[in-house]
Amino acid sequence: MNWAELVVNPTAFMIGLPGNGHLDGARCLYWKYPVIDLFLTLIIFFIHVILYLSNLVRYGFLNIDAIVMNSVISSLATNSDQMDFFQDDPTEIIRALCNITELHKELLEKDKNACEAAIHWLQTPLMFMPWQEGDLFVGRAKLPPLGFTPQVYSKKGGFGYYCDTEQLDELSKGVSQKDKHRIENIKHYWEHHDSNDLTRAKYPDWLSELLPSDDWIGQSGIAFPLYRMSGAQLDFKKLMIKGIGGLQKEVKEAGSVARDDSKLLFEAMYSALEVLSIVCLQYADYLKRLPVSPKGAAAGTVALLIGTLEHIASKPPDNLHQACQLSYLYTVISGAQNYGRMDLYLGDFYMNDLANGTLNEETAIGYLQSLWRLMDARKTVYDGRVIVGGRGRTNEAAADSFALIAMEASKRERSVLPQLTLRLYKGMNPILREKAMDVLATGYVYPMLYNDDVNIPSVQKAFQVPMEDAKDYVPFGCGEYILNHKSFGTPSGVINLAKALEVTLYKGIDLITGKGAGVRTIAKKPFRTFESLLAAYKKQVERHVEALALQEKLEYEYAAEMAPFLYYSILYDDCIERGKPIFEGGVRYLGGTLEAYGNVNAADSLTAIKQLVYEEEKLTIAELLQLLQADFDGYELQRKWLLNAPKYGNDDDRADAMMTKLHEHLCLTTQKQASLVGLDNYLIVVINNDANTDLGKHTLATADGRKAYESLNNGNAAYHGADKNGITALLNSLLKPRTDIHAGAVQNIKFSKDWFVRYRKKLNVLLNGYFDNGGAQAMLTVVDRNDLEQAMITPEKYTNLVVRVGGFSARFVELRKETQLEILARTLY
Amino acid sequence: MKGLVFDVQRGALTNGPGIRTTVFLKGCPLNCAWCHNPESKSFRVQIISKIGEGPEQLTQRLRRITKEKGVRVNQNYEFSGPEGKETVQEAFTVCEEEQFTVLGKWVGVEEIMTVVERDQKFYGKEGGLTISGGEPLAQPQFTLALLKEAKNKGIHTCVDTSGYCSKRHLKASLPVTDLYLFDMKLFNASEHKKYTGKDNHRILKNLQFLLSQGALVRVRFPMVPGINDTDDFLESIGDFYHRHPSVSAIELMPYENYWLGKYPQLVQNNGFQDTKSLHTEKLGTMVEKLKKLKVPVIN
Repeated sequence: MNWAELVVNPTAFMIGLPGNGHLDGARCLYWKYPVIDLFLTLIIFFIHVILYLSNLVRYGFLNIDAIVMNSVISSLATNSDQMDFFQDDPTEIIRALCNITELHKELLEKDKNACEAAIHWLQTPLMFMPWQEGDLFVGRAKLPPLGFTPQVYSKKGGFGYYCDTEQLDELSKGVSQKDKHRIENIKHYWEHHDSNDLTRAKYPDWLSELLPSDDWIGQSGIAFPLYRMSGAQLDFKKLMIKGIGGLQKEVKEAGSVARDDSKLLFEAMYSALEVLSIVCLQYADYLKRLPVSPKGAAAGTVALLIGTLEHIASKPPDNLHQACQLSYLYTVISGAQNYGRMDLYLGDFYMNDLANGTLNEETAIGYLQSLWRLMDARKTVYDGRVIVGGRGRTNEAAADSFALIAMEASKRERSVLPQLTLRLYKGMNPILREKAMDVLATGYVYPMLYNDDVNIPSVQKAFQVPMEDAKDYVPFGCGEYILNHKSFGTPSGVINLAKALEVTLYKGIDLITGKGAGVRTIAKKPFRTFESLLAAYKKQVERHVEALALQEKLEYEYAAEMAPFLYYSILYDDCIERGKPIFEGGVRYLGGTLEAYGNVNAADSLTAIKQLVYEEEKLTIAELLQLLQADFDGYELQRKWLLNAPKYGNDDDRADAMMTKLHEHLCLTTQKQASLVGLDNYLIVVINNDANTDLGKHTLATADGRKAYESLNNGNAAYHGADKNGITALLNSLLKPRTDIHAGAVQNIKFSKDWFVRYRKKLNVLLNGYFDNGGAQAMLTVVDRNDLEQAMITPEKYTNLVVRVGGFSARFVELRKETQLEILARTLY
Repeated sequence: MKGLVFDVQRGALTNGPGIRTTVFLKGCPLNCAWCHNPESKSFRVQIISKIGEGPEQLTQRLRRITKEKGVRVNQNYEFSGPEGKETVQEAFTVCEEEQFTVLGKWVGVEEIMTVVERDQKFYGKEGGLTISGGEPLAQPQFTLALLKEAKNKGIHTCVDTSGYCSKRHLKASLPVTDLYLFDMKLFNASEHKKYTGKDNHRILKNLQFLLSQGALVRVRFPMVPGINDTDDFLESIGDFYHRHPSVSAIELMPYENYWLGKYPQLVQNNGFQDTKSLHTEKLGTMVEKLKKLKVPVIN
């Protein structure tokens, strides 16, 4: 299968022809697998000749049109059954994996463009899975045991070339000794090409010291790196307009006038698009040759799919079905995990189909439901965003209609993915928001709501970009903003602020590991004043932010050295114009994000320390450390003092001022790093996922009264059960931290069902108050059965549950247990 | 100007239109057997032990903590400080609130208004401030001052009243009150006296007065099992409404036994220990019945 390499890299062939390097590589493959199809051999020979000629063209020896190159690819495409799709024979898979490994070995050093392109040719057949009956689209996929992807979807992470040893071990079961041996060789080779290790190899000593571990789930520490090129939002609109063929034409034309190094990039892009085209044709072929002919509705689906796939293999889509299929296949093959502003790129197709009578609303919802199921099956639970609504959509009416069916599809499908996101703004069609509330009222967690009127100016300031670019902000993953196909901002670091405070209080010792961590405090009796403690804490945070900023930059540098990330580069603004890969100067704004956790715990802890230690002097620092270390065991009264200290989330200025001050410090410190390390932006994100639980497991008791190892606060929300002053007080607190100095902060707000059903009008008024006064984002969830079961076990964590009885006054938490249980059972569900 | 307040509920949905901030004032001239805010009855600050102490034990403990002999908690858990230290804040320099609950706090109009103004952004066109209790007009100066301040800021105001108050104060509240939530318990005077301690003569007169002045009045009926949850009573409500068609709406307030979860030590033999909350289904039927009687019920 080495022809792939030759196709994408004629230069390698030229180099290889007179010398040993390349052909040795080829021979190596032949030698290991002597049974080579005669047909393939002939093809290879044919390619060799053509490529030789095309290289002569390149170097001006022959005046043959560059179309020769394309004819080679076309000839391969027509014989594309040589790409072994839908293979499940382990030996064949192992053979392909050996080939990928050999190609990598051979090409990486010579030409990274060719290397990535070639590996797409080889890994793609292993990636896609057959059509499943009931699906209205193809494209179910899984990552092969090794290959290339921008983001390895595991907690360990990784980007670019990867090797999943668990999958290899699985594959190794029940194969011959020879194959087992091959797998061992593969594993051995890839051990030395781990993206995490190679990024880390770039660290200066001080960085390794501050970021000693990658295992943020299993180990204790203040800050950890994350390895991934995550959060790409591709230009699907362009894909819709040009189609695969149009994009190929564009890169070919760009290549014809490009400098030599860019030429190689454009050739590789061309080849990557060809692979995508082959995927379409392979699927079409597969569907034509189904072993059992489908009957009834399935027959119609298969016919529809065949037509769609054959069409989009080269031409731009004509209808919604084709547009959905093409954008989905591109997303999957590119390794992107998010689906962009879907109403912007699919809205017109939907409206056209409706107008010309080829589609009705029900069928369209069915399409989206099927697409949603495919997304859900990818299990990219920290990503998988579909964005609808918002300013800056050129086709607003059509986009709104699409947004409505997208919400309806979510309401019906109720899947974990996609994470449907609705951007709101003043003057938008009110039906969209009503629809969103209807969907949320069913107890479903989507759509998440984003307020453009706050976010666009905030993004403009935080990212320091023109308004036009800011209009195209898109939340990805757990809530990080980037600019749709204009900026990249992979979150490549985690900071645990509660841990930073803990380590600071213990003068630079992590009591869990017993080792020094972060910035040490030398003074024997430090923290005589609150200001000195605050200064030490801030220094601790600053040092780690500096470290993570450099880590982000180094990660991009390594990514750039490693590969051009072809599928991203094709659909990211400016890459083609500049003739540069995305991470090597192609993308318009290369930025980064830093995930902050434990922000509220740190702030509330400092508020409590300030009050109890420095103002009221009820505790000394030494006593405080003692009781925190004891996890409050034997210090129940003191814990109550700490719990009773002001908490963020109650519209209490003492607590909220601490929170906003620390938030500002963290965000501005982070923002400042961009120019220091050479990024276009570097911003904090305060997001919502389960990292707060994972990091909490390595965080001792905190001075806000939180017990050791319990989860940290979630996003920008008040700590569990700390908000006791009613919903308006909570929202007032949420409105206080600045929004124009970070790249996204998530507010998860729970409402009992009666808000959505009985008091819907009041809920809308409440939300208007929130959004009109600076509310940036809201994840509204309905208190569900699971919450209630939890509340019955630990009612103290559900103090914000309100007893809604006219004229009745009581905080839920103040009621007796039996009454709490009765209320939970009766009123709130 | 300060008032004795036992709670401020923010984001309240059930005390008037829209989203409201409800201020609960302490002290009520009535003594309804079924009252769900037992801490609202006394006009004085009360102290409840969190560890089950009775008034005598509590008095002793407080004396130990404060080292003041003049501290006392009476049989009704009402607190009296040593001479010259009338408020709880004055009596206790050390924060020991974790061992007992202090019911009632003297709060200034400005302090309340700070909260109200912060919440104003969530009121929309309908929401605003509700003063409830206890009986708000039993602290007339404070209530009137608060209402006036709110009106000055353009905030919608509600007074949630038992109707048992002086006509003079009611009259003074007219220009600064947008809506009255007016409680009617029972129509029969002797029954009213039996269950609330007072007959309903004054209440009915006050209602007449408000209506005669063109005030917007929503009449609220607590529906208490065994007392007035009968078809006859619903028909009386119908009659009542048709005799007072200028009442803006009728609201039913189903009895809940949640008071049991608050401060049962403040309640002596009210006879409701075993009474279950009114069933939601039953309330639904009642509402339907009122609708059939052409009563504008807003449940």
